[in-house]
Amino acid sequence: MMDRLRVTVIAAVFFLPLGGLEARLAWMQLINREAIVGRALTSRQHVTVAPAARGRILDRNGKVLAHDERSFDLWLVLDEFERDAATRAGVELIAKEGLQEELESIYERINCAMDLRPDRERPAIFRRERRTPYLLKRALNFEQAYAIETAPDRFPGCLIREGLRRSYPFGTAAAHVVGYIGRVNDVEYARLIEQDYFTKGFDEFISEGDIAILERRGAFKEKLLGRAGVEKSYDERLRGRDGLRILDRDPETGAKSWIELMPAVPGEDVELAIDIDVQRDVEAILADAQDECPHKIRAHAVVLDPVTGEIKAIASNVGYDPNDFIPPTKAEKLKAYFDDPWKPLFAHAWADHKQSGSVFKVLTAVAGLEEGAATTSTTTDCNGHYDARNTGRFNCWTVASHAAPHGEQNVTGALSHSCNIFFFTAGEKMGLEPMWRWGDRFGYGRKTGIDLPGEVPGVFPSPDKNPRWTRTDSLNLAIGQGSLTVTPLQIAKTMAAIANGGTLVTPHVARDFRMPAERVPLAPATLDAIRKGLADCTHVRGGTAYDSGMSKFGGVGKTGSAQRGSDPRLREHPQCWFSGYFPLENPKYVIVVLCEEAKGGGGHVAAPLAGKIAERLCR
Amino acid sequence: MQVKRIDFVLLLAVLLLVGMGLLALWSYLPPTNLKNENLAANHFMKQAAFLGVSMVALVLALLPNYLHARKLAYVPYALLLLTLMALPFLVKATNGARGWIPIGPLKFQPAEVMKIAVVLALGRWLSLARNLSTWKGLAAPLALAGIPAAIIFTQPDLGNAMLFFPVVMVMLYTAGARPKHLALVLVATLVIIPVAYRFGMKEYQRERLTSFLFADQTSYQQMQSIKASAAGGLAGRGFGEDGVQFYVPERHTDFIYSIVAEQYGFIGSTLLLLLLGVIFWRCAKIAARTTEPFGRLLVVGLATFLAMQVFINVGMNLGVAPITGLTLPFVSYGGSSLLTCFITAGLILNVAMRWVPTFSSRDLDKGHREIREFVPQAEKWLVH
Repeated sequence: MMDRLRVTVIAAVFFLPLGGLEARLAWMQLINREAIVGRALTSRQHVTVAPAARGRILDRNGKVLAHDERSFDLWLVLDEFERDAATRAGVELIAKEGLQEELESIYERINCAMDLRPDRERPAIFRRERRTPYLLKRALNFEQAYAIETAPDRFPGCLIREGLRRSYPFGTAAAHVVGYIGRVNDVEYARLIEQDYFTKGFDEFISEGDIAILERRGAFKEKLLGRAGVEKSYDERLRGRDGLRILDRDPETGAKSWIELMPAVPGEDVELAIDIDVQRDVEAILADAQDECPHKIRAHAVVLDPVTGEIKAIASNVGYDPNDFIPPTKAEKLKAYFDDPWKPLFAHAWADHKQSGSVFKVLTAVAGLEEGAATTSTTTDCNGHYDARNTGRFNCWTVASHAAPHGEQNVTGALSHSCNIFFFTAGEKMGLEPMWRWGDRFGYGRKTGIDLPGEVPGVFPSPDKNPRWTRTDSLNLAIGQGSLTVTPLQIAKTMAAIANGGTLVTPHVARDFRMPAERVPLAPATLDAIRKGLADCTHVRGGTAYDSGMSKFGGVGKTGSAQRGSDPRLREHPQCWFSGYFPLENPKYVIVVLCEEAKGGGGHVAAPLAGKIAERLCR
Repeated sequence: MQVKRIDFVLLLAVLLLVGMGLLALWSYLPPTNLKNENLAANHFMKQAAFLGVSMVALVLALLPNYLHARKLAYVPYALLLLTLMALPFLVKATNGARGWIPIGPLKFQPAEVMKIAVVLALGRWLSLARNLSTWKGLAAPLALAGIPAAIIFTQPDLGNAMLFFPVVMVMLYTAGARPKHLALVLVATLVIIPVAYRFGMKEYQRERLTSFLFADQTSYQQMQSIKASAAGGLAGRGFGEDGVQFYVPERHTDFIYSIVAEQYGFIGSTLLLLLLGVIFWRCAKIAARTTEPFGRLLVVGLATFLAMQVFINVGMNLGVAPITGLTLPFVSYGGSSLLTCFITAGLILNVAMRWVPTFSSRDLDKGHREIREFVPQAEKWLVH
């Protein structure tokens, strides 16, 4: 049934649209040309980046910890600026330092732009660029901006434009958590350009060549990246996505107009579990921390919700003001931070690891009871010395501090008095392998996975990492001494598991952070015995933290004083720990306090600070 | 095979079109990359390399008798259908659209080649089908084209997917389906489209359609293309006043026609349309004189693909069709597109070359030119 006629019909039908297109072409190019093209022929258009506002960082009550605020930026039109020397004096009042460097860098950019074009176009480009505003100084204060705006004839060539500037209203409070942002450096810049980090989504709107032009013009050179804290770990969420605009400029009239090509997507807010009021008060409590000498000491604290793993406060008594890192930065201020022996830029609470000492005995107790090496009724007689093989080298802490030996101890008493002999015995009886397995299970030697950058895993020693392992190492591990190092977060995680009945939570600062919690089945008898030991420590006279004030709030805990070496000076200044929770029933807060190298031990230095924190939390 | 029997007019038109495309790539004011290398020159050289490969493909498509292709017609169809279905699992979406498979430095687009495979499969089916005048007979060919179209639509590649419908309609019409039936299918499809718009489309596809339907929302890209094309005037702007050309995003691929229109004006762009017209004319001629059904259907189907793509692409350059991401056959920059077009041309030339005239005595009486040419050859064959 195939006939020639049908093919002819199809051919005829197909020539119709072709004719239509030809007619459209004639109408566009010959008849209506001027109306369509209009003034566009004489205008120059180029694509510019529309910056996205960075998301805010909020605390758990919605208080703003970081946000972008409007700022006034000073832009300079060289042609008008250099017409007479008087203007220079006016600008120098406002941007004195670095003015010459800034001007040179502007000229350098103009030269770069000219180098890319043929010789005959260069003079025209130079003239044009001299009439183009360049950014001279960010973040003028209101008076300066006002002066320039209201007296344009005193500042020819100066333009004030509104921009965005990161601001941290609470300053130093929670600085390590919030973090800061900084200008992209050259190495990163090359890598991020390669990854299309700044230009995501642009290729759907403009060509590869135009993206390259944007890059060459330095559109991303001033970009700010998260450098520390939440600003870094949630950078992807906070930064949003830049958009594109087309700048239409008429060279005759100088009139400008924008066309939105790709709208910028502002960054999302990040809501933290931190309560900034609690955080500030905890920081104030730590700020007064002193040892018995008294000397100022470095102290850190973690307040954790044992059920959810949310961090309510995580503080150090050293820190910085993130506002100092926002360009334009002052070099001497940054230098002071870098040179400070207290290392304020370092987030000690999770980015540093210290010897743990007796707070680790909680884990030895768990392992011993769960492995059957000790029961709740097992007792050890402490006469100050552990003489299993008559070496005479392993003593209870009572020997060094000339106190009476503990005598007959069960696990509860051993925890409350922090008796070394009991844990030596239990550790030796249990053997190294279960010790190591339980430590690994509770996350020692591994990062807890907190959503903040720079966390360190600490050191959890084991024979396969140390070929010269001896019995001394095994015994040291049982009481948390030796080469074991931990972060306050790891200690808080273990204490949270005791408080909540065996769930290993992941500590985190963002409220919507979700991480499956691992559950460790602990026998009720184990939990009861350990909880009783922790309670006796604060409630019963003779407990190492009896005079900490924790008992007023139903607080329980364990102290630790970790020796850092055999040298007498080091012995006298141990790492002082307190790790505990309150209230006794349905615990709401885990508190860990670490005072570095403080004379006096955990019970006298760290535990009272925890007591003050508990008092604040109960308010 | 005799070289003389190649349709040189068609071949020449194709080569001139490719030449115009290369000229456009060469002359369009080049963007440069960070190292100050001319990206357009890069495009020109790449396209020239693609041209070499495509020429080889054209010869390969020309050499064996196209009737061999009828035997194996379903094989490429089946393979490509499988590839299309597996595509989401093989590669992650680049640019959120269009199924590309990267092969070394090249990108392979199965949807492009699928067009040829569908025409082959439909050609075989329709040339053997006996019940095309019934409703039942229409179901299989519609499904044959509809299934790949649906998959391509979800890739999402709206432009290529919507080409399949006119092709299957035209092929059915050529094969002898009833016009009344085809008209009803057309009406039914027009009813389905609004439903698909509401439920089946991605947000940006809707935007493209609405930006076309409501003229004041014309996209920036199209607006620039219209201005650039109109600016060409009668003889074109050459390299333009002080070297300024209009900025049109993705100009070297989908909007290459606007380069020709801007640089070479009404004269150049009309010449380009004329060359495309020559191709359609030769295809119509070849289809009309080929009485072997598979060959005729092949030419009609392939030519329809080319024609639809031309209408839509030139239309969107001139602002009378929505932006669909379709290339201009033989002219646009891009390896996959050029290769497909050359294979298409090769198959059409193949059918033209294997034409065996069958004529009635009435034709002889009329003294058709083809017969006058053919009779001496036939006598020569008889002698040997």
